[in-house]
Amino acid sequence: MTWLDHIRWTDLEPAHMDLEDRTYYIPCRSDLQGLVRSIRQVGILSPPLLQERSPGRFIPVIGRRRLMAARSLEFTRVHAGVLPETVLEQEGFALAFWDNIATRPFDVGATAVVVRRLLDLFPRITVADLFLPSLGVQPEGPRLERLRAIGGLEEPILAVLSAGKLLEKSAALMALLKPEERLGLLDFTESLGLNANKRAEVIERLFDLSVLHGKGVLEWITDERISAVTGNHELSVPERAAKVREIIKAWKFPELVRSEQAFGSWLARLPQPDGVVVRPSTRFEAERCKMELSGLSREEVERIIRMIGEGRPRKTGA
Amino acid sequence: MRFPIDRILIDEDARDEPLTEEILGRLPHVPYGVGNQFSVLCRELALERDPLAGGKRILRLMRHKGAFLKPCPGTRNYVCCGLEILHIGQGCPMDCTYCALQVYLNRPVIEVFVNLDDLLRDLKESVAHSGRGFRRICTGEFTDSLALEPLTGLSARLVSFFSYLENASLELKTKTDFIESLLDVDPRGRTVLSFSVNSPAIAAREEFRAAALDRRIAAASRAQERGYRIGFHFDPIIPETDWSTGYFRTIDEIFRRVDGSGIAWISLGVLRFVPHLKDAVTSRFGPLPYFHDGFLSGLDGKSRLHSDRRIAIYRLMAERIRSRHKDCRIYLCMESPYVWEKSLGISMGSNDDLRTYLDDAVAA
Ligand code: SF4
Repeated sequence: MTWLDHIRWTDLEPAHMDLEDRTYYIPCRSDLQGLVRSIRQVGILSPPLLQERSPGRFIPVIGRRRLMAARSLEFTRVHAGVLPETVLEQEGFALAFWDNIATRPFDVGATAVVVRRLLDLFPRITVADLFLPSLGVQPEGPRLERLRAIGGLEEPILAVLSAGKLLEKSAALMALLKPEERLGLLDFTESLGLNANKRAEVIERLFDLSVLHGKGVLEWITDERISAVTGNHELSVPERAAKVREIIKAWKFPELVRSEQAFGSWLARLPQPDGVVVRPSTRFEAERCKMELSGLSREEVERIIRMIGEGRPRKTGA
Repeated sequence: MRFPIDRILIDEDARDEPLTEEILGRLPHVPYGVGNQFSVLCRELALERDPLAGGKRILRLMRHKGAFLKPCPGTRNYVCCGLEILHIGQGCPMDCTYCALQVYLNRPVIEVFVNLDDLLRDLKESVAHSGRGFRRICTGEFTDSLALEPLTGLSARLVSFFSYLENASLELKTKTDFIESLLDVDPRGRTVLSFSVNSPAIAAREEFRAAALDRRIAAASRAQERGYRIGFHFDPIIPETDWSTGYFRTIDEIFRRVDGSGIAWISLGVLRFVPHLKDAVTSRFGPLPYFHDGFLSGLDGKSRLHSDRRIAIYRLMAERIRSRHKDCRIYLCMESPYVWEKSLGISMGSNDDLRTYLDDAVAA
């Protein structure tokens, strides 16, 4: 690389740095406070690298978080290297990439942002050969494109993804929605306190309903049946979540819910001895049912069997 | 030749096959290369956003080294028709949005097996030496049976080959109307020429590069006049809103133009798919409403609509078909005995039952 020869080392004022600039952004969502404490104690041991994009305007290449910490500590000057404007974005991003990947694993949110940027900057074959092996992403197959789409999501969604509270497949679906829809969906699922798997179920079903019926996700989640539940503060959050999931399930699988209800009503009419469970066939794919008998001892099982046997009509005829 | 082919790759060991020569002769302006460029090209394609888009325009001529005849990959819990697959190649130049091959095949190009002598030898030995009863053999599982017929002429040869067999029949399954080469061959009752059909709207919207529906039906009618038994496959049935109107129109059109007594069978299959097909389709075509219906995980892990819905669909379809030809042999593709009974009123308890039911249509 040629950039090394051109680094100029100097002291810069944090006030002159555009730390919001995303040209060489590689997300890291770990807590900044640890870094702030460390820098307060010993200063910045490894100087950051910036690029001068226009006279007096510097953007971070390596060490964005160190610079953010320095700014929060109100440092007036930071010793840093400066890359000239002529260094290409490709080179600068590769620098940031290799510096970061060497020191920490990327979560899925960071991986997605990085993949998106790499695909913007480099030919696909270069991304596949040079960068993806370090990210553990297969160059073939749909995941690469999925990550690219996720990498363009809004920061609040990426943060939830990075925190493991949103599955990658859910984020991929959200990427197919309009920004206001996905952010609304994020708030909605947050308000229900759903874990990642239940959130995935709700997102997928609402997405399906929206595509199938051509009716936006926001319309579904503001439907009066949902609002009646989410606005009912006599219910706990988990109770609300359970009811909302039931409503959505009934929208998505009306026949299944009807079958379950009919089966439940039929079963309710029968005597139900302890230790006996009756189940329908899987997904109601047949009329067959399954009766399961369980007891704590052979004696108990025998008692249940006898009880069922006695309830059976006697055989008639010869 | 109707499908666009941009490039031909010929495996080194396939260059001297007569069929290779024939195909090159029919595509004189298409550039071709011989040798081991295949893996390089496959990697290039695999890195594309949609490898199939490019792959469907590339023809690979190769020798098939495995068995040519394979059992149909049926699954437990559902009644399978016992069809065997004659592997003539894989991949398809058409592009139906619901096509299962999008996730089933691991190479995106169209492959033609040019070692015809091996294929016919395999077939002959298998049919001659099998202790099994009647054999129904089809070429349209990993490809469309006739999509490349103008290039290969293979199906016409197969029709001729099967016409002298006592214990086997051939089924050619297609969404094309490429039947010219078949019209001068007498099938002697041993070939069923089957057309995959759909509602007019689905056929026009979801089956890219396939022949228009009325051309398929016209081809069926012409082939019937030349002595072919005809089959129709309504598969996948996609039950959009007001679905029956379009499907009934297709049924009516079929019986208006094709003699019902010469129809060997009509199969019905409501859309079902391996779950990751939905993701693959979404990434290629964007979200398609019909893939987002209430699909449940079926007994074989495939996504299926609730059995009540499938039963209602099959019942209506069967009623319409029977109203046009009351003895029409209708069968369900990969459905449970319960669904058979409830929708068609036919007790189809096992694979053997279905095999016999279909053998009866062609064994005579
Ligand atoms: S014609 Fe058949 S094989 Fe070809 S794309 Fe359509 S469904 Fe797939």
